[in-house]
Amino acid sequence: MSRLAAGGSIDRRQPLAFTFDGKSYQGFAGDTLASALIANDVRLVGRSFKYHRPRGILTAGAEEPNALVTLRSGARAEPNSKATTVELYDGLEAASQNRWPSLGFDMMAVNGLLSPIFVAGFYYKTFMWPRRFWERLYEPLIRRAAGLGALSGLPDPDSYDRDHAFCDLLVIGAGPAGLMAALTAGRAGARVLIVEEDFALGGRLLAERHEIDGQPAADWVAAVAAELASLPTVRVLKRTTLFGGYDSCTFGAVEKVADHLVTPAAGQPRQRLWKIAAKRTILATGAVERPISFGGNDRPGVMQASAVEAYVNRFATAPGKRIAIFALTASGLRLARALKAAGIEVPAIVTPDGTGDGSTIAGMVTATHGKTLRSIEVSGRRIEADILAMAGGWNPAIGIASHLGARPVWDDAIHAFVLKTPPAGMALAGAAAGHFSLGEAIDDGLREAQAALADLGMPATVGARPATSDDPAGVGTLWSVPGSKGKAFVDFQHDVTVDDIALAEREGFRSVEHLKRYTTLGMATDQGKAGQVNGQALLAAATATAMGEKGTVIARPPDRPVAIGAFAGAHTAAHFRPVRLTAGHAWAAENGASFVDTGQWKRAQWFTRPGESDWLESVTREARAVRTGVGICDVSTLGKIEVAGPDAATLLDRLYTNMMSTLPVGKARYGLMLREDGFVFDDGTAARLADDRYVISTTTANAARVMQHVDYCRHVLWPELDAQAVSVTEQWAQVAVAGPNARVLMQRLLPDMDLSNEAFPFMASAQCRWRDGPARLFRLSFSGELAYEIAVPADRGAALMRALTEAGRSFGVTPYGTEALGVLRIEKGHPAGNELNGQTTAHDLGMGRMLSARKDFIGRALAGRAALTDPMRPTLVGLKPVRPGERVRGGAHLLPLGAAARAEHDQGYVTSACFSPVVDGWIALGLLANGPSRIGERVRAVSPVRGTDVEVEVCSPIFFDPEGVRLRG
Amino acid sequence: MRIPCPYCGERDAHEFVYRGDAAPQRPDGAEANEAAFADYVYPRANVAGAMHEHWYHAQGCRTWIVVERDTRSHAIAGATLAREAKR
Amino acid sequence: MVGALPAAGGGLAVSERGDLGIATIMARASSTAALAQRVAERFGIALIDGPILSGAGAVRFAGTGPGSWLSFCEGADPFWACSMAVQLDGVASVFDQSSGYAVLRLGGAEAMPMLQSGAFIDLHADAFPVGAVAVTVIAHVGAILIRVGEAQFDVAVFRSFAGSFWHWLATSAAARGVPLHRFSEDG
Repeated sequence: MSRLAAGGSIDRRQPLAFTFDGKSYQGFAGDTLASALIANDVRLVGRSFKYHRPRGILTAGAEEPNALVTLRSGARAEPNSKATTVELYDGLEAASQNRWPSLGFDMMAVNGLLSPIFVAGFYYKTFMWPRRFWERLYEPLIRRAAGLGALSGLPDPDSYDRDHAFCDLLVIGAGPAGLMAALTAGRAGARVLIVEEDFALGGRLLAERHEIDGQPAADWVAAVAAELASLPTVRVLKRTTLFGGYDSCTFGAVEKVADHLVTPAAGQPRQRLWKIAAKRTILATGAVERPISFGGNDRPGVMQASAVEAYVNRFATAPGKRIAIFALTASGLRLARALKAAGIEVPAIVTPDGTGDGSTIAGMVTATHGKTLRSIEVSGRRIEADILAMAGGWNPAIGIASHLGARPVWDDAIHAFVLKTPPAGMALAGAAAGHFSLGEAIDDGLREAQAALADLGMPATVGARPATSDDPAGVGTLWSVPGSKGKAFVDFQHDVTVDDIALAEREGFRSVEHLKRYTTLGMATDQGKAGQVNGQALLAAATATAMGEKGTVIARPPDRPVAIGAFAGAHTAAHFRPVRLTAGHAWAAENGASFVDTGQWKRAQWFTRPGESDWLESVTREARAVRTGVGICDVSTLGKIEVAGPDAATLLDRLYTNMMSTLPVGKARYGLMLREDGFVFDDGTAARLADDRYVISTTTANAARVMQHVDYCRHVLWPELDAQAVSVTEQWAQVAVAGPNARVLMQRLLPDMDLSNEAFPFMASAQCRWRDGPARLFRLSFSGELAYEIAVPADRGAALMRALTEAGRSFGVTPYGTEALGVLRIEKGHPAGNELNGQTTAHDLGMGRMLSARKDFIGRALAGRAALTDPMRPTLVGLKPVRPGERVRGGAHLLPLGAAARAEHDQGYVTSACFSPVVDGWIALGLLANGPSRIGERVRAVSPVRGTDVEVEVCSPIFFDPEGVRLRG
Repeated sequence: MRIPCPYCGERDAHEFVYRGDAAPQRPDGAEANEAAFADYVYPRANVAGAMHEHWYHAQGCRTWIVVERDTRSHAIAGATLAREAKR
Repeated sequence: MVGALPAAGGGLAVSERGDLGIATIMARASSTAALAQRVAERFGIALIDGPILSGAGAVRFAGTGPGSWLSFCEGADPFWACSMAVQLDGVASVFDQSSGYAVLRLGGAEAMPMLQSGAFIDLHADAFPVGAVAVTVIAHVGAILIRVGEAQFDVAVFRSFAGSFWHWLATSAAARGVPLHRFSEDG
C-alpha cells in the first residue's frame, strides 16, 4: 500500500471496495479510480493504441491519454473511461483495455518491434489496394488490432434527463479564479451558475499547498462552498462537464447524476444534459500540464508533475518511493517540497539550465529503463527512480472559448497559446487566461466578476481581496530532448512520436491541420489535450517557423467525450420522436388495425379480420367493400387550415393555381398549389363556409409546410390583405364514408339533413349538427365512389367512428386503411405523395388546365417555362402488365422495348403500383416521356433493385369509371 | 443560437424555420414575366457580413420575422415582424 | 385523473382541464385597438397585444402572437366559439379550437423546475411572472405555457401529442423522484 498515513481530501472512515481486472482492492471516499489504483501500487493500467506499449497513469485529470478502462460490465459497460476522472464508489468494477490475452503479456506488443512500418501515414500508405480488400480484410483487422474499448452491444439500461438553466453569470470551473468570481457575483445578487467537472470544488487548490487569508487553501474552499450554498441566486453544479460553447452565449454541459453509484435508483437518470443560456461567462478552466518529449517518456512511472502533486496532496498517496523531477517550470520545482514533506525521497531534480537550488542537476532526461520505471538517464548517468515527474509547461484550457471560431495566439512570455479575443460576453480568468499564479487567479476572478456585473448594470459590492501565499509561476520550453534513446512520444494515446512529426514534415504535411490528419496527432479520445501543442512546436521548429505563425488547430465541441444517450435523453425506442394519434386511434386498434408512420402520425394501414393471413388479403377485401358497399376511413391527419377575413378569397386565388374566389358558399373545389419555381407543392380541397371564410385541406405530409407558406403569403408577400389563417387540424376529426351505400349510412347518421343528390350534390359542403354539437359535411371523393367526409370536434372522433359502425352494421360497413385508400385512388388515377414528389409540374400530372390564365398566383410565371411544358417531360400515365398476373413494382424504370437497361434509355418510372380488385390484376401509375400520346404502346418496366423486368402497356391513368358516373350518383 | 423574436422575446434557434435572404421582392401582378421571376427565385448574394433574413417562428408565435444577422459571427443585431418591415 | 395533492405544497399535482371552450382569436387588419375596445365592452377585460394573459374570470385571453390570442372559457357549451364570433364580428376572426388542445394544470413546488427542464425559456419569476404566456416547445412537442400562479401553470398541447407529452412528464417526474399518476383519457 502506498497510502500516506495522514492528510489529503479522502475520508479514511469510508473505505470503498473495488475491482480492477477481477482483482479486489480498497480505496476511500474522495478517491478517483486512478488515485485508488496508485494507493494499491497498480502501475500498469493499459496498452497503447498502435504499438500496444505498456502504459501507466500519466495525469490526474481529463487530459489522461493512457489510463482508459472499461467501467462496469454487461449492458452498463462503458469503455474508454478515464480512471483519473472516475469517482470511486463501493463496488466499482473496472477492466483494462486494448490488451490480449492479458495486461502483463500482450501478443500485439509485437507491433512495437515492427514499429518502423507503423510510422505516420502508415494506414494511408499500406492498405491502399487491392481496393476490394479494404472492407473485408483491412478494416476489420485494423479495428481488432488497434481498437480501444469495445461497446457491449446491448441496449443501454439507463435513462438520461435534460434541463435548462439561465443565469446572469456562468462560471466554468471551480478553482480559485472561478470560486472568487462566483462568490463576487453571488454576493451582489446576480444569478450565478458555477459548473465543476470534479466531484469536489477547489480545482488545483486541492492538489497544491497554498494559503489564502492565512488559512490552508482547502479551508478557504470549504468556506466559499458554504457561502455559495447559502446564497439564494447561486447554483453550484458539481460532477458537471461543460463540453461546448455555442452561439449567443449558450452552452452544453453534462451532469453525472448517478455515475458514482453502482446503479441509479429507480427512475433516477444516469446523466443529465444541460443547455445553458448565460448573459456573461467567465472561463476558469485552468491549464493542462505538458509532457516533455524524451526517450521512453511513456514508460509506466513517468507522470506529469502536477499529477504527482495531486496524488500526494489531495489523495494522500505516494506514487513512488523515489520520485525524480524533470522540470521546466517553477511549479515543477515546488513539487520537491511537497514530496519531502510527505517523506518521499527525491533522488534528482533535473532542469536543462540548472535552475533551482544547489542540488539541481543541469541536464536532460534522455532515456528511461525498466518494465515499469526503475531508472532514468541524465547526461549518460543512471539515476534510480520509480517515478519521474515531468513539468513541461502549461497549456491554458481554452477549448470552450475557441468553439465559436476565436483563434488562439502564441504568447512568447509563457510559451503557450492564449485567447486574446474571447467571444462576446466571455472573459477568461486564472490559468485559462495564462495567469498561472494563485494571486493572479484570485485577482482575475474578482476583477472579471466585477466587470460582468458592471456590464449587466448590477451594483458590485466591493469585497476584500483575500491575501494569498507566494506562488512563483515561471515557465520554460524544451520541445524535444537531443540525444534521446528510444521512442519519444508526443501523443501518448495515438502513439505519435517525435520522429513521426519529423517524417510528416518531410513528406510535406506542414500545416498543423494536415499534421493532425496525417499523424492522427490529437485525434484520440483525449483530443490531444496533453500532447498536441508539443507536436505543433516540433513542426514549427522543423519548418523554421515561429509558433505564432504556425498556429494551432481549430477546437470544436464537444471538448470532452459525451455519451450519445445524454443527447437522446428520453427520446429513445418508441419515444424516439413524438407520436401523433388521431381521435379514432384506440377505436382502430380495437378493430385490428396495423399502423403506419406518416410523419409523426400513426395511421391505420389496414384492418386484419380473423382468418386473414396476408396484408394483401385484408387490403383487397377493404377496397372491394368500398366499391360494392360502404367503407369508412379516418382522414383526420390531412391538414386543415381555416382562412377568414374580407380578403380570404383573394389570398386563396393567389395560393392556388385555380380560382377560389368564384366558389359559392356551400361548395368545395379541388385545388393545386405550386411553389414559386413552378413545380407542384401540394393539393387539396377548399370549401367555402361563408363569404369570408374557407377551410382548406392539405396532404398529411405537407400540413405544416402549407401553414408556413400561407403565413409567408400573409406576413411577407401581401401583408396588406385582410385575411387570417390558422391550422384547425387538431380541432376536427374527419372520416371519409365511401361506396354505393354511403348516402344511406350518412342519412342514418344525419336524419335531419336532405342528402339527396339534388340538395347535396357532388362537391357540396355544409356546416351542420351532429348530436347537438358542430359538424361539417363535404361531398368529396378520393375513391371515385359516392362519398362524403364528415368532420366533428376531435373529442367526439371516437364516438363518430362507433356511431358509423353501429349505423352501418346492417349493410356491412367496412373500416379501411391507407393501403386500400391507395388502391382506390390508383384505380382512379388520382396523384398522391408519390406523384407530388417535388419534381412534377401540373402538366406532368395532366392538370395543365388547372393553371388559370385570368390571375396571378404563386408559381404562375415559372410554371410556363418552355422546359417545364415540354411534352417530352415524363407525364402521368397508367400501366398494365401485358401478361396477366405479372406484377409491376413502384420505382421500376420505363424503357422502350428492346432497349438495353441503361440510363440513356430511361424514359420515366413507375410512381405507384397496386393490386386492383376491379381490374383483377396489378396496375400502376407512372411518369413516361410524352406519355399521353403513347397510349396503347408497350414498354418495359425494369427494376434493377428488385431484379424484375415486366412488359407493360401504356394506358389512361383512370382504370375505373372514367366518366365519373359513380361519384356523382 | 438565440433569436430575439419581436413578440415572444429571446428564443432558441431550434424553434425557428430559416428561409433566407429577405431582400428579393416578389414581382407581383399578372404582367410580371418569367425573367423577373427567375431573378426573384434563383440568384442569391452569398453575403459575408450583415444580412437581413426571413425566419419563421414555427414553434412559437407562428410569425415571419426579419432577422439582421452577421453571417460571419452569427451575431444578431435585431429582429422585426416581417409585416412591419415591409411598411 | 389527478396525482394526489402533495402535502405542504411540495411535489407536483397534475390535472386535466376538460371543460374548456377554446378559440383562436385573430384581429382583423388594423383592428387590434377596435378588438380591444370590443373585448372591454363585452367582457370587461383590458386586452393586451403581447404574450400575457388578459382577464381573470371565466373568459381569458392568452396572447400567442401579434394580434392573436387563444381564448379560454370555463364551462363552455359546444357552440361557444360561434357565439364568440358573433361578439367579435367585424373586428376579429374566430376559430374554434375547443377540441384541438389538451390543457393540463401543473401545480406544486416541482411544477416550475419540471417545466424548466423541458422548456428552453427562462421561467424564473422575474422573467416569467404570474400571467406570462409563452408558446414554445417541450420535448419536441409544441406547448403553450401560462403561469396562472406562483407555482401553478397551465400547459396546452395539441391533442394528438397528449400521449407523447405525458410520457415526457412521467419520465421527468420520475427523474426528480416525484410520483405521478396517469390521468384518464377520453378515447
